[in-house]
Amino acid sequence: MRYRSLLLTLGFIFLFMLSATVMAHDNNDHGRSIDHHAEVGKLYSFEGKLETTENGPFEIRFHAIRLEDDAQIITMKNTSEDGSYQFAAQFFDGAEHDVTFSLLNPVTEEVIMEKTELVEVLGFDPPMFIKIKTIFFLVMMIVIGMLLGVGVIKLRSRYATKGGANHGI
Amino acid sequence: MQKKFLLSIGVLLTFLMLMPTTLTMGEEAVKIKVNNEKGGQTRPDLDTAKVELTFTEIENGSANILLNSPERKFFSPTDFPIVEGTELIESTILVENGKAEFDYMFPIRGNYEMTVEVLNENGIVAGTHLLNIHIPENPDEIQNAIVFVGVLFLFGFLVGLILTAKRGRTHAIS
Repeated sequence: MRYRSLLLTLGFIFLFMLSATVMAHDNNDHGRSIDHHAEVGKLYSFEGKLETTENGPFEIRFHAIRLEDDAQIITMKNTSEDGSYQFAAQFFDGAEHDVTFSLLNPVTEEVIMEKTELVEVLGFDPPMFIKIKTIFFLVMMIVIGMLLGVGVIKLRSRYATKGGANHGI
Repeated sequence: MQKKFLLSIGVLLTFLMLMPTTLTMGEEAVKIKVNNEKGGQTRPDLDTAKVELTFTEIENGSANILLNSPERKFFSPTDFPIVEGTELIESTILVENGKAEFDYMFPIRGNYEMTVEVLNENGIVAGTHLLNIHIPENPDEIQNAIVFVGVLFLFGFLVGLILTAKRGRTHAIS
């Protein structure tokens, strides 16, 4: 009995230690320096200016790609008089992202200049409450199944007993 | 008594007549459309959707948008629990010819709330609107969840069946 409870405790510790989230890498594989450190669950604000000798107004395009699968996360446009920009977005995946800021000619949509920056996103494990709740739900599925299995046998044996008694009469 | 009854009916009818008008007015100021460029429904964390906003209040200008993710629900967890009930985008987008658009990959299923503050060419606020976007769950994930829960249920059922049958036999022998 003591061994059983010990095994159960060890099992739960193992389950809670399992990490389902892709954590951000400290050393990136691209040989590039990390320009921004964002966190999952929080807005990250990009502010800056694209220096140019041309006169405005311009269009500014903000484009973010998740590097692990090249997924297009966000693309949006705004106007700018002098090349300055501000975009705030949350990265929902703890992976590296490339963000590109492009300065466009508003009439021809030609790219005047652009810069790409690397964003490292810090991922988190799901909260302990969520882990416990999920395990509880899944265990409940097994428990409901078991109860039904036990119920079927009990019902069968009850009918069998009744049938036997009737047969005797 | 009769007067009061007639008055209350009158108030109710007026309310019913006005209610759809105000709702329609609210809906028409800014319209939102979410399209999957690949076709079919937009799946969370897989498809990049084109979000199109149509404005009737202004032709050209900009819009401050604040996109909030769906609130946490106790009985329906998602793939990214930390993202639930948080702010996803807070930015200003360009409105041209009464239209604005941006591409976005929605992280989880559920009802997103978007607050849109419409600004005219002079940067003066023309109106603020609250819009809802519904993103359904990926059908493959629903199918996988059903299979997984079904396997767990079946496992429990078989264990319950076999162990109880065994126990019954042991009792019968003893």
